[in-house]
Amino acid sequence: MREVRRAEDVMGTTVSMLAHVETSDAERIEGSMDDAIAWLHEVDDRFTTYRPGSEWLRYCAGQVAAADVHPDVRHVLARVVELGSETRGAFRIDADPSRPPDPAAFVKGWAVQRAADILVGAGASAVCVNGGGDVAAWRLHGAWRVGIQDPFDRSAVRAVVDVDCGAVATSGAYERGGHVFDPRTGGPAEGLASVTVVGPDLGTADAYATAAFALGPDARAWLRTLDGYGAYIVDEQGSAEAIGLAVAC
Amino acid sequence: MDGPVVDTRYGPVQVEVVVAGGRISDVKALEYPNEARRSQLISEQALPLLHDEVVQLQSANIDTISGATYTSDAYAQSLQSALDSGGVVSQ
Repeated sequence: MREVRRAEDVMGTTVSMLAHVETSDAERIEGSMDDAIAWLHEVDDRFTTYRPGSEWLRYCAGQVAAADVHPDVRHVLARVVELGSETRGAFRIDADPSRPPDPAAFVKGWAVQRAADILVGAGASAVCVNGGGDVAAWRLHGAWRVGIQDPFDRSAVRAVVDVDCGAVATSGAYERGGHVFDPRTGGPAEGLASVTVVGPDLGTADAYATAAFALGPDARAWLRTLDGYGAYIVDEQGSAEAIGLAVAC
Repeated sequence: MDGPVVDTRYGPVQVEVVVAGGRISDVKALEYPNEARRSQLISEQALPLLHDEVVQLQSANIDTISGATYTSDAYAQSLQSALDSGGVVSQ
């Protein structure tokens, strides 16, 4: 058994990949990492709102008709609508009025999830892909131990969750500044230091974490209604609460 | 024992993990680029950070870290970077 690792700068962050492979499969898994990295760059180029001319920005500007966009754009548009409904309006791609609509809070997790799926499909026995703090993990045997970062101390871990097949996404204001907006007020989200969502799919977990962070303390009631997704919340006073989730501290 | 070599934007980074009495006692950089500005960043800022964090994370036996999204520029000083560069220890 060997470990294969790769780190790549893409989507404005660093995506790191780790796979456990039989030595005889190592070459094929290395090749699948090339495929996964190419996929992440393809998504970045298609959906970026930070470089002019992406297909997403041209669609938003009305320069490309809905019927003519890539199937991935149609998929993201449809999923964004569903996520708005699933989060009772808290997940929005147009919450920041100073910027073009940005689907990144779903697209990044969705892309990293598929990158992990590519490595699993190539025959790795364990896969862990981390996209700037959002994790897609799978193991044939045992579980990955995923640390949840302390929002008040970047060098510390606040809790640990075991994941054998699933995703862990965290939203907080402590890395990029107040980049999550409360759609009800139009201002920066307040009340929580970080929200971590754990569940089967990283795109959904990423969007749910962003939505819960936007809702602030009101997110607790909504998170309790979720089926298949649990959460770990740290509020601005430093108190933590797990909702539908087993964590070790 | 030597840790793995990980290709990063700063070039390949390899660390040596020193085990004493079954516990990690130290983490030293074996190999990192030392010419570009980026390499200065990783050698002067990130490596001391990595040292502390690898020791801490290994004692917690954690495989990866979920946190609010960091930028590419912040990666070298992130916990995930600590795990990627020194987190694999085969005893």
